[in-house]
Amino acid sequence: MLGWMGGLVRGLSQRTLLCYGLVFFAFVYAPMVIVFVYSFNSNPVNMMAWQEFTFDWYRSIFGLSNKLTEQALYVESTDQLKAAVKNSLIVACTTTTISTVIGTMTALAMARFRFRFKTFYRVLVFMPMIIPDIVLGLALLIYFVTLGGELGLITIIIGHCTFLGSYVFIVVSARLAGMDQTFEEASADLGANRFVTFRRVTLPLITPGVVGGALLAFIISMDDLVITYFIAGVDSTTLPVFIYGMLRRGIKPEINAIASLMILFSLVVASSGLYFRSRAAR
Amino acid sequence: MNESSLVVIADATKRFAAPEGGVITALDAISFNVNDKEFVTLLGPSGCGKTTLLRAISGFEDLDSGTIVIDNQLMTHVPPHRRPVNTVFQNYALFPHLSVGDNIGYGLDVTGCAKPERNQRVDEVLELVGLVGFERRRPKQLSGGQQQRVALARAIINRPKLLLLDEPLSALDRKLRQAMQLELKNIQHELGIAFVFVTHDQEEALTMSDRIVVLDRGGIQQIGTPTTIYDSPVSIFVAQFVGEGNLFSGTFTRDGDVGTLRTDSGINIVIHDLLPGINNGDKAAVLIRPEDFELLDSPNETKSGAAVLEVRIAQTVFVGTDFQIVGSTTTGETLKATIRDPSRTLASRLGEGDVVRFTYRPHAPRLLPMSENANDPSPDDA
Amino acid sequence: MIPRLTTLDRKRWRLVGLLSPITLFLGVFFLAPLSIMLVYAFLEPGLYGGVEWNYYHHNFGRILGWADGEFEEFDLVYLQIFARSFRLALTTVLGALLICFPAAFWVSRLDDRWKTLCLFLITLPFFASLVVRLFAWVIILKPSGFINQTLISMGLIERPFDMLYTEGAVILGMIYIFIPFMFLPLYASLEKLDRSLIEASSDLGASRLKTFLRVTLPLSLPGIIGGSIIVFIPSLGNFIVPDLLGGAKVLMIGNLVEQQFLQARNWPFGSALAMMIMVAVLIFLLIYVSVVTRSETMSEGREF
Repeated sequence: MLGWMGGLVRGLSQRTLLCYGLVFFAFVYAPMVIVFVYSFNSNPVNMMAWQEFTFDWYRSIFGLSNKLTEQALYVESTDQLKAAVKNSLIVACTTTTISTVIGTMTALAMARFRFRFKTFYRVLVFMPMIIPDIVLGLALLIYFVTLGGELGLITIIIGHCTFLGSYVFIVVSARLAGMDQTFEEASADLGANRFVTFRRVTLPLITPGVVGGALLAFIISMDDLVITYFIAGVDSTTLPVFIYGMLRRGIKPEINAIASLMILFSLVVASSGLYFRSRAAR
Repeated sequence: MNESSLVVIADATKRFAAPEGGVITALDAISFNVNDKEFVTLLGPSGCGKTTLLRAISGFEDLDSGTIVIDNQLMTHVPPHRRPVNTVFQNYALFPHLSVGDNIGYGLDVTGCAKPERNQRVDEVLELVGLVGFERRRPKQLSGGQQQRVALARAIINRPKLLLLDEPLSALDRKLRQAMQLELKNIQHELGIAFVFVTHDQEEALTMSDRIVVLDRGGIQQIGTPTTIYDSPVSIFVAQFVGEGNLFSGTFTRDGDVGTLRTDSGINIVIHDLLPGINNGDKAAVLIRPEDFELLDSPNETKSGAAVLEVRIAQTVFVGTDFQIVGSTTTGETLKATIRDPSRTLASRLGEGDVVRFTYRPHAPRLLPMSENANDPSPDDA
Repeated sequence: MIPRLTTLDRKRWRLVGLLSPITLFLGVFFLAPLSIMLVYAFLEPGLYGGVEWNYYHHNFGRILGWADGEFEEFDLVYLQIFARSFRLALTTVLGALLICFPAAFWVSRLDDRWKTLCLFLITLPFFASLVVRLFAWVIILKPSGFINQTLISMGLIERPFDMLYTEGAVILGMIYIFIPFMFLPLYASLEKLDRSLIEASSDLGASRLKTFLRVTLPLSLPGIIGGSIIVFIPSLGNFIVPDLLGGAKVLMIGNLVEQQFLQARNWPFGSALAMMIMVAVLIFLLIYVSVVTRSETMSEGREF
């Protein structure tokens, strides 16, 4: 390995690094590009052997056409797909709201107060993020079943909130760390009570962090597979779990189209989030 | 206690746990009053408790014991937003997300002032601080001096009875600071409200205040007008902190109405203003301000009632009509003197290494009690 | 009448108010479930799923090779799977490190505008669905997938390679999904690395290799360790990647745990396995924390 490193270092000229960088980004993006490109391939038998350009798979997932290449399974999965997307959106919106509120409150407490159990809380808040998700998912499964609860959207929402609050906490804390407490004191000094101060000063100032944290929570919630996989009931499949199930049953061409749409969706959400953050930072 | 006082602070005490363990006494039984329309300065080195005191008045710190009464109202359980005081913060704390106009109007907006009245009052204070036309800008787009004016305007729009200013000029450069000192003073006159001004800059305190409260290590060292503080400091700390001075320590002997301090180096300084607490044989110190020195022209000239000091010049500085001389006496003390020189002849006559003879105004020496560890720097707990 | 509260009292109540949601939520839905799981790990599995509420330490015994000693033979199969999981996770960490280090080094030397763009491009895939990114590798690696189709159509090979359902595919998949996790900590420490240090070193006559080994590498160590831990933790317990890219051939602990819960319905044993994952992760975290604290005290005064 030393020889390899030596070679790397000797070749550290800008050009070699540039070439490497391009290869690196190609490695990162090529798989997604391949999925996208082949989602327009009309070949129903071997989806990776290019035949001709088509929109059929997109039409089929929206239920606009039933291209019955294999069984009537497609028609059935369109409804399931719609239900899964709906569930995902319900879960993501609810968890985003709850975890944003909880995470922001915690961040405010940690940034604005000195108290004895601070270290305990810091560890407690970090725990859900560093614990392997399979462990958290199964612990919640045991818990809900032991308590006799029924698995469904509510259990998914609870499960997501346990760790998404921590993500929001991190993002909002970063924003609060750069914010002076004298703004709040100035507001109180000018006659505003706690509530007015929060609404008119604290909240506007931390909004970029709160929005960033909420976006992050939304994306992670939309994408969570492992925890949802264990605590989703039969009728409450979310989109990632649904696709995972489809992949396990066998790969069908229209998964390409679904995957492409999901990539596009998350890229748009993430880009706009990063764009807003960079604007707010100015 | 004065019934008409605007602010009455009695036995204010506040202790903090020091980060390295132990307790820091930030305020040690502080008592003083602020009268209507008075300009009171809290002066002291960093860590003397002046900012804590200010924060106790504005309501951001609870006192451990003691009371603060503002306008005949006990403030102990009154939260900051209900107190009839406003503050100009050290770094201004202008809201970055609001325009200048909205910053200034904030105090009216949060108390539900009607729009037309609000706008009119914003215009009034904008004019008062000379910022008409700036109301749409963001605080970041203003210079330091302009931000300072916005902070002032924002703090006075609620027409407080008392304005607190926490080292508001410390971030400005020297020229601007001097201009703002005068302007603050003018605005205070125009508004007719009391100011409590915190600073560590003794020059600023002397220039602006009606009264100065000198604080050190949580306790009041002296309260008085600038002239009293400057001319009659009551302790070595005050003498050293306010203005420049030459201190000589020695042994005091009393002789009827006058006394003599024989310095450790053997100079006898006659004291005309005696202090009751200092008796024969006590160790004491004496203060002579630089401008109280006079230069003796001929080698044999003396002045009755004042000692003569022979000084070897180490450094001379010409400042306008004054001439500052730093040197050391033949007995080893460092001495700083400011000599008036209207005819501008001293520069040609004095050079480094020359030995000159100084005397002083006979009534200038100020007797001071020796205090323990007076020369220790106070701990920085601010 | 306003309640007679001091500033301190009011502050305390606000603090309680702000902290109670997270305390309640994590207490009820995080600490309690984990505690119950810990209890389960010491319970006897029932015959048809479910549990008997008896103390039972054979769950852990079974993992270590011997179970109740009556019906089961000494069998190291679970330890072997653990060993494989560690091996795959460590290979993933090493691979991600080797791939990301030069790239992070390159990005850290770009000027600011390009830097921002590159960081954006690195972060972006993290937001794309995990299943979808793994699915991409399935259609690339499978026998009738992108690589085999391309090679066959170019006439380079006649029969497709078996690439899917191998350990290599699992490692590749994990490296791929964890690239941002490794890249960002590496970048953070390389970015802080003062270029003049490298120049000083070569000025003092060190060869480039020596400069790299003596200056660049040690100074970027916090990033290397941080990235390694962040990649290692989710790799070790992963079950999605081995399930999709490893199939039945490449089982990791995660798959084992999932099977115990969803197929064998032996929850106590599954809990015991999950606890083992937790313990392994916590040990690595403790190592990380101690290394970071030591490097912080070593370079006191330097901002990290």
